Amino acid sequence: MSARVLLVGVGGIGHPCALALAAVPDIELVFLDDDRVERSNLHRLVAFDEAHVGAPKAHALAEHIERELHATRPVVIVDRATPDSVRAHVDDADIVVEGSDNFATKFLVADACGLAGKPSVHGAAVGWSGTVLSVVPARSACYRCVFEDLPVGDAVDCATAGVFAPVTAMIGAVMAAHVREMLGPEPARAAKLSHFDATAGMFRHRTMQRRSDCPLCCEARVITAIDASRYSAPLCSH
Amino acid sequence: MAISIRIPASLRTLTQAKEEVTVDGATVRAALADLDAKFPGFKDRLLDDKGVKRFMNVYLGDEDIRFLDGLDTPVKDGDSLTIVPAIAGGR
Repeated sequence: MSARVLLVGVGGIGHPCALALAAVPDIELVFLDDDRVERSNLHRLVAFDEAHVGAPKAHALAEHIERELHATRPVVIVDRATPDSVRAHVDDADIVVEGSDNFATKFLVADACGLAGKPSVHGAAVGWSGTVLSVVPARSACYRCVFEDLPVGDAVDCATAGVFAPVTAMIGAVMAAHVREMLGPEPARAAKLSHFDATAGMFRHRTMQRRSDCPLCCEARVITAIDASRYSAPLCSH
Repeated sequence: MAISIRIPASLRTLTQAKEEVTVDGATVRAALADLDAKFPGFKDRLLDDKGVKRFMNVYLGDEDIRFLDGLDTPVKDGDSLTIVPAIAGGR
């Protein structure tokens, strides 16, 4: 039986992750993304060229995987994760790969995965650095154990700091490796925070502890359902 | 007491692009105060009235200081602190 792997976002991070997972046996890829290819994306969306500008990223990537890699065509959902839809998307998946570009979606997907008990891999890249956090529910720290809540004020996103294309490729590749590990005999080994610093050429991996007062995964958790009021943050414009 | 602090790429505008700086202090709080004294702006970026901001993480070696004694965690000569902020991006 194949594992259904939902990719929330197939842009700079999800794109290389999807390419890395495309040929893995026993995986069914599902792309959830409503974004379109822009010329400014082409340096990091390596499967695309000028002819793809304006096309939905999810459809264009699925076509590439089928035609050029001769792999099973991924399922495409041209939509975005919203408080109303996220649980249905996550509940249908075995593993969720979240490579979105804004904090609201990151926390929304993380909460949905926590509530549904689904393993998740969260990636982000800004400037010269990136992070991957992999979560095995009830066995490892969740996204909120590590980052607690949406930033207020001066958090860093790619709208303010830009993104160096090779960093997105590195983060996407590591996310794919974590998915493979989660599908193996010891999924909990994938549960870690990996931090990449391109200026130092260095990856550092840390095993994270669960917080005893985590609002999502502790016994006395306060997040018991998706509440839209918890998720508001500006979208990345780059 | 020389403590090294690894600066995330996103905050290196405060350190004139230095990836790592050396500060003094006997606790994480004192080390971060010295960091802010040498490179003004870190206090506002890292701390609020409750301690380390909720989307920032500070590690002593590989340990999150939340699971030690927080800002009062003792540090010793040669220790290394790392700042890891929450980031979103990669569209």
